[in-house]
Amino acid sequence: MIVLNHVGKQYGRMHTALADVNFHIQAGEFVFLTGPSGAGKSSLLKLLFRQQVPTSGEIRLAGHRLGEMPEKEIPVLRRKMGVVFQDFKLIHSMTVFENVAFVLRIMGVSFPEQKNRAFRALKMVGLQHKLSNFPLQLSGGEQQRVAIARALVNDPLVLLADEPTGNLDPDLAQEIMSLFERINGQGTTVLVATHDRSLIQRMKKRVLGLEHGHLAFDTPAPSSTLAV
Amino acid sequence: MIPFRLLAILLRDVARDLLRHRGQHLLVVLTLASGLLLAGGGLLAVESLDRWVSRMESMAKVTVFATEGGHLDEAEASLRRDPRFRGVRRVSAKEATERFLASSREAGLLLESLGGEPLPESLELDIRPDLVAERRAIEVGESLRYMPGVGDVVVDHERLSALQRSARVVRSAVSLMGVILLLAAGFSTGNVIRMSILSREEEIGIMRLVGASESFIRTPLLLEGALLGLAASALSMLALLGLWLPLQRGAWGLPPLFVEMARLGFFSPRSIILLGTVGTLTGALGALWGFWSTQRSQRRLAAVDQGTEA
Repeated sequence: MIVLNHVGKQYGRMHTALADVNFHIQAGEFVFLTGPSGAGKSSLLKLLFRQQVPTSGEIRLAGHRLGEMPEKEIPVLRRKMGVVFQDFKLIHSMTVFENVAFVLRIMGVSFPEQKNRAFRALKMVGLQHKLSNFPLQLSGGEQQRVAIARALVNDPLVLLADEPTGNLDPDLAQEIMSLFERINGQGTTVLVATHDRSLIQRMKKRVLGLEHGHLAFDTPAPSSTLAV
Repeated sequence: MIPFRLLAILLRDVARDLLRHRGQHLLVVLTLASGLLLAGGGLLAVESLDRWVSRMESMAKVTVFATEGGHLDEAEASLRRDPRFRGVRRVSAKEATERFLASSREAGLLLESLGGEPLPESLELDIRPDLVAERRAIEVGESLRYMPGVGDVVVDHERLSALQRSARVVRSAVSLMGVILLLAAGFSTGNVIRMSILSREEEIGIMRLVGASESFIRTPLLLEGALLGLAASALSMLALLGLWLPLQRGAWGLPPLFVEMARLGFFSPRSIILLGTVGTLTGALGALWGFWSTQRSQRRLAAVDQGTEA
């Protein structure tokens, strides 16, 4: 599902965010991406999301070669993915429902179907009662859950999450991880960037570790938890 | 099925955005409407002037006056057979006097002081359309001077040509001013729409991130701009109608010529369509300009983010 071959990313001439990163994530895998701040986690997710292009190497995601992808195909790729951004990226002039349903709207899903699916996604994150609220009327944790609902609403092939539990209390964080597991159980490939070691230890999944832009370790999941 | 759904979604989005950003949109409509009001006023003035001039043209005639105390029987018989004229109307001395008396109070007093029927009888000649051109009409008039019983010949077309020349100058000047005003209004409106779209730049950026295509983002903005432009056109036309109605009733003590011109009618359907189209296009182009601006600034930001531009 996701293949990185000798991927490098450099900002300007001086700063190397990623250097010679190689890994392969199979369809239906659940993988954690970890490392200290500045290790290159967010840069890697931006490359996978085609928000940026690699300076060197090749990235393949769901059959697309991201480095050579024409601009007009980027929206098509993004509609196959669900992304939870670290800063949520919710549209403040839209209600919670409209934010979640927006992804379905751009896919041309009918309005009654949008209502059903957005409600279901919000119910999964426990925010079905906040449909008509605006993002700024919600707490940071609630906004994060709206972002998660939006990432899940289109049943994506791949779910990318950048510190999705950063603003949540431990119970809620565990609940969100269980939700990700459930989604993963339905066949979605999940890649979660986090530096929460306790969460990683509890989940017992494959872990990719980045340090100074290099892939420092790739610890496989115990075979019983691999959901392929 | 999906295109219809997308159309329904598009219209719903447009309606929602128009309501959601109503403050900014009101500003856009008022800015464009004020520009269109001035340009439309110019267009209405030109149209009224054209109507008035063509009315004058249609009324233009060659008038043959009898000599003092003379009669035009012989000339009339000859002119009725003359193929250069479509119609000949005889105006008796009595009718001429009555007409003159009806024209103004001062004229009546003047005639009363002269006594009797001081005006000669005349023949009003409706000239053939192909001879209406100024030079030819004058030649026709000259050829009538030596007919029996004819004292004087007045060719309206001679005076009309001066009026036509003045009208052409006025029309060109007003048209030029209208175009300049419209360009200025278009620029300022485009800028207001652009600012309104730029204030939604973050929103547009997020739409791109979650998979919205450029056309999905652009189309509602274009449609919104076009609808705002159309609303501004309608508003400016209503405002002009509000000015025109009292004007054609003779309000504000304006010169009779202006009142007479106003009475010849409001905008023609063609001008209404023209003004509506200009407003709609201005709105749509302003929106397109705003969209390109957000695209450019986001590309620049992306380049900085990528480290390819410092």
